[in-house]
Amino acid sequence: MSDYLIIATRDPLSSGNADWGADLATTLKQSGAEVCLFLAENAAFAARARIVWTARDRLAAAGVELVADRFALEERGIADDEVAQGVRASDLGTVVDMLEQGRKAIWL
Amino acid sequence: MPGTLTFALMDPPYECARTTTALRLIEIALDRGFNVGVFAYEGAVYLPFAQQQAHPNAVHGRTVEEEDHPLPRLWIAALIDKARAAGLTLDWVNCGLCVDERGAHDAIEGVRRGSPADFWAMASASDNVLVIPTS
Repeated sequence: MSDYLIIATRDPLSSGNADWGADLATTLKQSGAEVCLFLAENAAFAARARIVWTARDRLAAAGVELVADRFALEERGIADDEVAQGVRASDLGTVVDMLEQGRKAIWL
Repeated sequence: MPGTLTFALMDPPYECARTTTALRLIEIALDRGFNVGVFAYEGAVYLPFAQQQAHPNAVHGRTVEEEDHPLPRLWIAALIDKARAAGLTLDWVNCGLCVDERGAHDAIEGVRRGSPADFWAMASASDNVLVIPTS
């Protein structure tokens, strides 16, 4: 069973891309894989607690690891205390770590 | 023990954040001791284009030096140098088909012309591959 890294890069409010990524992540997790949805670039907006992104609860319930690029958060003025519960801020090295682990990577 | 990672890039310079994210990833991989392969196709063949030039900004009254316009070819050259200094390889291949279509023949030193077969070879020899599609 492969594990997966899905990298989302688009704002969830202006693109269906983040929701599609969330659906994919959830489905893969339910199939038994370990899955990380990494929020980079404008997808980092989805990490903001005050944004209504219903997929976040679905991801948490499914056990998908949700990580946001700290650099992207800072670029967008999203402070640590504005990040939604259940989202972990990390650096882009997390992507390299997961590639090294052999995760299949999908960039959205 | 780090091995080899391959990245496929599509986006031309200056158009979107994917390019800078990709170059950040490549740098991190090199810092962690990975050998890196890059297959640049479509507009990404312009990333290491040797004829990129900085320019002044007449609207804001800035000279070339003051404007300090970023040039992706310098970033890529720096990554190639970083790899070399660390005893690693950064094998940057521009897709020849895409180079011909775009007339992007003049690439910086350290970049080689190749084909999709090179991407297949790189991917086959790598521990993992990340394809960064165009937006």
